[in-house]
Amino acid sequence: MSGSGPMDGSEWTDEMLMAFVDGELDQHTTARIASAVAAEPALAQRVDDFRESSRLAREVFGKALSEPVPDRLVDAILSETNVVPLKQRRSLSQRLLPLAASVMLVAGFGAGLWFGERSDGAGGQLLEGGEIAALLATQPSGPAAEVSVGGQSARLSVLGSYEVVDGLCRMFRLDYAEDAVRGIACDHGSGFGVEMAVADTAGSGFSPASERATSMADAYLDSIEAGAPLDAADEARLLGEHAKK
Amino acid sequence: MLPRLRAFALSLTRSAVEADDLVQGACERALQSLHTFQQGTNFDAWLFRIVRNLWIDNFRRTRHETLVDTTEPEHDRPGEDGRHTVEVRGTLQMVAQAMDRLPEEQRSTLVLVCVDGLSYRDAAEVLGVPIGTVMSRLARARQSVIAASGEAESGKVFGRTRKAGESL
Repeated sequence: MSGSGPMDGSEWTDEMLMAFVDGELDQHTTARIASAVAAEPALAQRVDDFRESSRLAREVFGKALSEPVPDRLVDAILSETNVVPLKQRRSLSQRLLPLAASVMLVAGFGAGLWFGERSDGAGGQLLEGGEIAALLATQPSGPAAEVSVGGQSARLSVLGSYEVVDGLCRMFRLDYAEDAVRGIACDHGSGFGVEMAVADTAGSGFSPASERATSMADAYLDSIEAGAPLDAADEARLLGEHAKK
Repeated sequence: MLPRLRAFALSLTRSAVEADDLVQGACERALQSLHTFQQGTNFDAWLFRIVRNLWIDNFRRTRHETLVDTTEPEHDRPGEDGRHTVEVRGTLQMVAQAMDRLPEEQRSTLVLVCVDGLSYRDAAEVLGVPIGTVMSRLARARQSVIAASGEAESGKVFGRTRKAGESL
């Protein structure tokens, strides 16, 4: 098995064989290596080694991946963002906990953001029953509507509508008896899904918007390159167009 | 995502407590700089990069350590259970020690790709190096892993390591 040529295992560098194992090569090279590996046990051994090394590394670090994230870390991150102020606002935290858990899975960190991707799990918490999704698709910005979320009554206000490249986004606020949630839902062609939600400061009676919730919502709108808030006429026209789809 | 960030942080700090501090700090920094995230680019890679940058800025400089020579013989294996430990466990211990001895840049590259599942391209972006550098670090790290595993299985702690590519 000596000599030069494509069938000589020495032609393949470690980096190439590793990239082959990792699926990082183009189709043509992948096919060439695959047939070389099938013909040469020594080459097959090198490939197996790279595959095994990856498995071993995963196993060593598997604990970090599979063990629950310590409460200390979750609490610290969540409190940083006011999403779930665990100590002060127990009722809110209970309502938001499943949400927060989904947030971390979906968005990647406990920032109280669903970032970009639509989340059925997280959005489902708020959109359960379809009542809010239906209102988001029809209700003009401004007046609040009575809704029921997970058995609790709340008032849903749409605060603004924004065009994005492939659809329409709406900022909303959900006022419960004592707490509030501010979020952004978007329709990219298959109905409204909640893409971001954070706890909004709320008090009994008068409840000014939390600055942080507002700026997070704004940052999210910026990040998806949303346009300026639509005026009432444009909003009505776009809602009508989306309803037809 | 948090577990993946933790694994990466752990590959940098090698201490669980420091890794959690690092992840927490990185999440705070990510929130503050959310507006700098370019829509359409890889959000995961952006987060990993924040972890790494924060580590370089705030964490690494607090450590007064020099890189361990990877060819240096490691201290004896912990043998609290006697010598009849389960073979698999022995292998994993050897691999864990070998990973611990890797230069930081090899270890973090290994974890980004093999544990956290990043593509070479994303790993290169996180680490701020060319893809070729990612590949050579990764290949060397994995050869060390395989060497450690081979040693464990042959029962020779200080045995000769098989060179990558060497025929059996």
